[in-house]
This record gives sequence, C-alpha cells and structure tokens, in this order.
Amino acid sequence: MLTGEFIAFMALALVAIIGGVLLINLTKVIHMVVALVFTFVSIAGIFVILSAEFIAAVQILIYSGAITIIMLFGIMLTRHDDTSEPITGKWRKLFLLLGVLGFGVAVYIGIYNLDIPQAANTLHVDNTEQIGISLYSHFIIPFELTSVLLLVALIGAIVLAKKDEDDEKEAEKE
Amino acid sequence: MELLNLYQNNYLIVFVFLCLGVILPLVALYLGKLLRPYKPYDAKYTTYESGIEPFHDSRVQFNVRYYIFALMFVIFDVETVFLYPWAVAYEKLGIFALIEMLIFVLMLVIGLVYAWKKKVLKWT
Amino acid sequence: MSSVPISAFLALALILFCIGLYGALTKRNTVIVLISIELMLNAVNINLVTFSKYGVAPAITGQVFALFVITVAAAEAAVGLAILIALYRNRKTVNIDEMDQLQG
Repeated sequence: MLTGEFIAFMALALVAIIGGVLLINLTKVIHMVVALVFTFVSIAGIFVILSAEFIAAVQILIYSGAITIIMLFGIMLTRHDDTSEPITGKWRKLFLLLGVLGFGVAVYIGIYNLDIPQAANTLHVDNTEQIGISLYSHFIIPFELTSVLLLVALIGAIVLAKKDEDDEKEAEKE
Repeated sequence: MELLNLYQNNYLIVFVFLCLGVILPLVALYLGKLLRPYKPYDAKYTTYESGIEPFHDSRVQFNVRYYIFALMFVIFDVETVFLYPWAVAYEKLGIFALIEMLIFVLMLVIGLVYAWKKKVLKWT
Repeated sequence: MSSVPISAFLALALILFCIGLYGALTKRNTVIVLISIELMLNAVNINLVTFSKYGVAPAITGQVFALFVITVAAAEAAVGLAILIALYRNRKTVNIDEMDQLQG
C-alpha cells in the first residue's frame, strides 16, 4: 500500500542514511558537519510522521541549530590540516566494521518481524500541551535535575575553556 | 483518525516551503552563472590584484571567546525549549508549575551571574 | 491504521546507530567522534518516539524522555568540546590516538 506517509518516510530515511554515510566517508571536517545537518533535519521529519511535533521543532532548534554551531566553533578553534598516519592499523578498522555489522544483524533479527497491535492514540492533538502537562506534573524532579545539569555544564565548560586567559594576564604582569 | 490525516496534510505546506527554500537559491545562482560573462585569466585569480602576494595560511586561530559565547547560546537555547511546553500548558498547571519554573530559571540565572563575574561576557 | 510498520522505524534507528557507533570507534578526529555520539543519541530518540506512538501502551512519556535526552546531549556536546579545547591548548592535537598521556 503506497500512501503519502510511506513515501515521506522512505524519502526522509534515505536522506538520513545518506547523510550518515557521507559523515563517515568525507575527508574534510566541515563537510562532515554539513552532511550531518541533513541527517538531523530528516530525523525531525521522521518525528513529524511519528506525531511528535514538539520534538521535531526541538530537534531542528537544538541539533541543526545549536549543536551544529558549537561543533563548527570547535572545529574553527582547533587545527585540522595534519596528514600524520594513524597509529592503529587497517586490521582494527576491518575488525570493528565486522563487529558493528554483527551487532546490527543481531538486533535486526530481533526487530524485523516485530508486530505490536496498534492502540488508538491522540498524541497529535495539542502535542505541546500534552508534553507540558506530563513534564510539569509527573517529571518534576528530572526537570529540576536538568536545570542543575545545565548549570554544571555551563560553569564547567567556562572553567575548562577560559583557563588560559588568566594565565596570559599573569604572564603579562610579570 | 481524520484529525491525524489533517495533522499530516498540514505538513505538506511545510514541505512546499522547504522545496521553495532549496530551489530558490539554486535557481538564482544558476541563472547568475548563465547570464554573467565568463573570461578567466591568471591575474583575476590572485588574492590581491595589485598588492603583495599572500604567503601564510589564510586560516587564523579563533579566539576562545567565540566558543564561550556559542556555549552560552546552546545552554540558554535548551532552557528556552523547556519554557515552551510550560507556557502552552500554563492554564492547566497553575501556581505549582510557576514555582517549578522559577527554580529552573533561578538555576540558570546563577550560571549567568557566574559567567558575568568571570568577565566572560566582556569582549575586551 | 498506519502504512509504515513499526519495524521500519526501528530499522532506520538501528542503521543510524550503527553508523554512529562505527564513526565513534574508528575516526581519529575528536570532533567527529563527538558528532558520531550525537548521531547515536539521535537514533535512540527515534526509538523512544516510535514506541511512544506504536508501542504496547501509547503515551506521551516517550516524547518527554526524548526531550531529556536532547538536553543531556546538548550539555554533553558543550562540555566535550570544552575538554577538547583545553586538551588542544596543551597538546596541539585533535587526534584521539595521540591523547595517550595516561598510558604509562
């Protein structure tokens, strides 16, 4: 049965997987990040198909917005033009490829004929409001812990990244 | 069921806009390429036509400050994401959710004050 | 009811997870390793949202949990890159196989 939903899913899945494969195969770091943006945007489309409207918006806002930006800054702050040979050999790569493929096949055997009888749901009706009610009545403690996590991440990252400037100032004083 | 179809059909408009957004710059760039004259010679490809030859790598090391600004953007972006469902569901949640959200915002204000005290926000 | 079977979504998540796992294990550039980890977390999010719609008991909980995962991923990326910048300042390298100071 060829419906619009199926066509949309196939197109989005194709874009997502092509983005992922390009991430592995491209040589320049900037190009890899751009390939990944395609994957992130098409995953947002998958979320729309799964009636998770709000998560799709968050995906675009956080992943293809914020995380891509911060990765680009990380790339620009460091140097990526070295051509030194890797220390580990080719056999390790092949071995890892086989291992990952084995993992993939093992999980696929588990899921390929999974069939759960579908229950009716109303996730698409006022999706953001449903998330809000659930988040602020059942998940209060995880939510407050999230704020602590964000605070720790902010302070920790500032401490780690800012270290040198104080040292430079002290060096200037001497 | 009908609502679900309606919900999905609404996203056709998003798809149309996405297509327009991709096609428009492509067509504009291609038309420009089609219309402009193309007569390359060596002097046009030098960086400064009547200046010194550049001899260093053009990439400079960026200041760490840029990273810290990007970092604060990410953290407060995530905070905004949590504000949306709270604002939408506020009518049904009442005063308790307001207190929760005040604690949440207070935590991040502490982070902002810390960054301020550390003089991360100053450029000079 | 739905034209896309649940296993199709799970298979897509599996493929993306495998790509991310392979990238995280084989790439030498630390930024790319971090990005691969983000891809793996994203694949997990697809699973969470899929089960929140097509699972045995459909509920909004899966989407809320995906929201938390995205938050933790953002914090992890921020701190990970800060560590990378601190390391780069001392070692002048971003290659993960040259960061072996603890190897004795």
